[in-house]
Amino acid sequence: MSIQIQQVSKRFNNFVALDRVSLEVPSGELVALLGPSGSGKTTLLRVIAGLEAPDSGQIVLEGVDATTTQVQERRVGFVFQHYALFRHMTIFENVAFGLRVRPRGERPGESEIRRRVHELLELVQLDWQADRYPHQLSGGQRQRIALARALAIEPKVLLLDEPFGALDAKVRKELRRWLRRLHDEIHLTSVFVTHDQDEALEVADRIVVFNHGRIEQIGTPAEVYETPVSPFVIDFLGRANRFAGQGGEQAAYARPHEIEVSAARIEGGAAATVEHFTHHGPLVQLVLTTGAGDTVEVDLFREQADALILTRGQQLYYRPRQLRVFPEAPQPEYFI
Amino acid sequence: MSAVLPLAASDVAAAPRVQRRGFSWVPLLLTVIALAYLAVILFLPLAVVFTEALRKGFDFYLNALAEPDALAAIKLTVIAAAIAVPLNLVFGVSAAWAIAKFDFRGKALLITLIDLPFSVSPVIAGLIFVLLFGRMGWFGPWLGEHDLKIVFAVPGIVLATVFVTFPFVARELIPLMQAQGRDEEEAAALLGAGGWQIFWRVTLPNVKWGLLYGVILTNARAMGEFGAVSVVSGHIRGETNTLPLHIEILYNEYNFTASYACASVLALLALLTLVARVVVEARQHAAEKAAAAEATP
Repeated sequence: MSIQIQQVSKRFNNFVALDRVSLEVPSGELVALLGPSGSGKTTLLRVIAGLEAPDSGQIVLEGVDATTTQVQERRVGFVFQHYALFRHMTIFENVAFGLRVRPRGERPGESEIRRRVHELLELVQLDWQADRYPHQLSGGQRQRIALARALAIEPKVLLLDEPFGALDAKVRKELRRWLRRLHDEIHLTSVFVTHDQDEALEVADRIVVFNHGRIEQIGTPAEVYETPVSPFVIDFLGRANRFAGQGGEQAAYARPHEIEVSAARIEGGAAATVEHFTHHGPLVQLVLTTGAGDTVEVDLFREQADALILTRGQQLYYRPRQLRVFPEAPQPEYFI
Repeated sequence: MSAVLPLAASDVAAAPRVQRRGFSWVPLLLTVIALAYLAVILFLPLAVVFTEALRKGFDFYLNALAEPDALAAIKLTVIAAAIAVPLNLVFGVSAAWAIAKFDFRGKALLITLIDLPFSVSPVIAGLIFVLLFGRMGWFGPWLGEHDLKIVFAVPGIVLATVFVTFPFVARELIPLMQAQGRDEEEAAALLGAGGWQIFWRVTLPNVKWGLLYGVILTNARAMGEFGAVSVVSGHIRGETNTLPLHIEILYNEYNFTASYACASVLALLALLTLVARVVVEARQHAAEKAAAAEATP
């Protein structure tokens, strides 16, 4: 089911959480809302779910205006960062909850509930944990139960708020691959919030980059990474070097792997000294200091680095192979 | 690796031995002082109550309790508690629910008001009702015309008891509910549960031990309240005397043994409350530990 967000604004006292945000999520897509904390992404998710009412604007679910529809009526699956499992209920009862609270006429029978719950627990590969309580499960298992519980009401859309935020790095990586595979199986329109660019790049069909309550850019992971539309996006997604332009009206950016380095003078290049370098598997990360005292980060392949015979304090020449030029914006806080 | 592991294990085993220290007088002295204090302040009075109560034998003890005025006092105490506890249970749960799970104007004021009975002397609380409903009070003439009696009658005693005990349940539940946050309620709403379903199926089960503890405290205070009830009671024997007031009258009449016999009933109630408290706190502690495990991955 498609989600359309039209000109949605939301304030909390003096803080503008969402500023006339418009977004369309086509049916069956997995979209990431990416941005720093306080950028409005979680607020938008809660507005879509009906947990917050927008000050203005519309939420349209499958072509029907749902702006004033009650939370209970929206049929939205929601997964919380801290799982929000019902602590006094077994895993089975947690998943069954959405079925048990239905009005008498629509409530499935006990055997049907049993069948559905076990089906969902099998889907998240935790059928053997049905009789245990949430606190007896690991974080990753709890998040899978939270997902099964959300799917039990056969939601029209699935919303996930920092779903992997509370998990350790390894579990996080496994779980986000698993979520991607699950999405490919069930094709439920899904929106998840994250502040982790790797997570967004790896899992999402499309990424929506948020900044200060506004959308900076919408695009596929490749689009937002390769053709960022603003200094904020280039800085937030991956690393970038900033070069001040002439007259200070423009700024140019180049990613570390887009800079060539040579021991001999290069045409159009500038001189710099090697500050330090570190090995990261097949890559060597090199930090240069320019004559003006600026820092330039460069990623080289191991072979290139070996050919340069790097030493600290060594003089090198560098030249960006490719530059992205943006009008100068006063955003020093995001500069690396 | 296998060569390293046993070594590490023996290190761990050795650790407690390293930490053991020489004998010190200080902890022993402190323990003795604490126990002596408890003995004088707590155990001795309790022992005195029961020995004095049984001084003239078990038959006298039973007779003192079965005496009509004593029975009437016990009955009135039970009535007052039986009305105050359910009222404050409902009030406390609603107030705590509103404060912990919703945002509204005047929330800080409501929290302050709930604490009012704690900060006001019970005697003042009783006087408030006399000034409101007494013969010379604000509503006195109107009540007189309609032949209604509140002060120096059972309704006054119930009112005073309700007033004095109303913070206990709310005070117990508010921090507990606030600590639990709103996530589970939101999750329940998203799954289609209405307000009542959320309350009965999610909020209430999550605070049941805290609620039970609040009820126990409310009941103990309701049955033991002296000051506020004393002001509004009028001390009419067999009619408006609660158990604490009855004890005072017996004592003032030099009827010590009967007085201690009645006091032993309240002392027993206090002991029962203590036991219940220990049990409930242990359960609550276990529930909170589970909740803490739930919050951290």
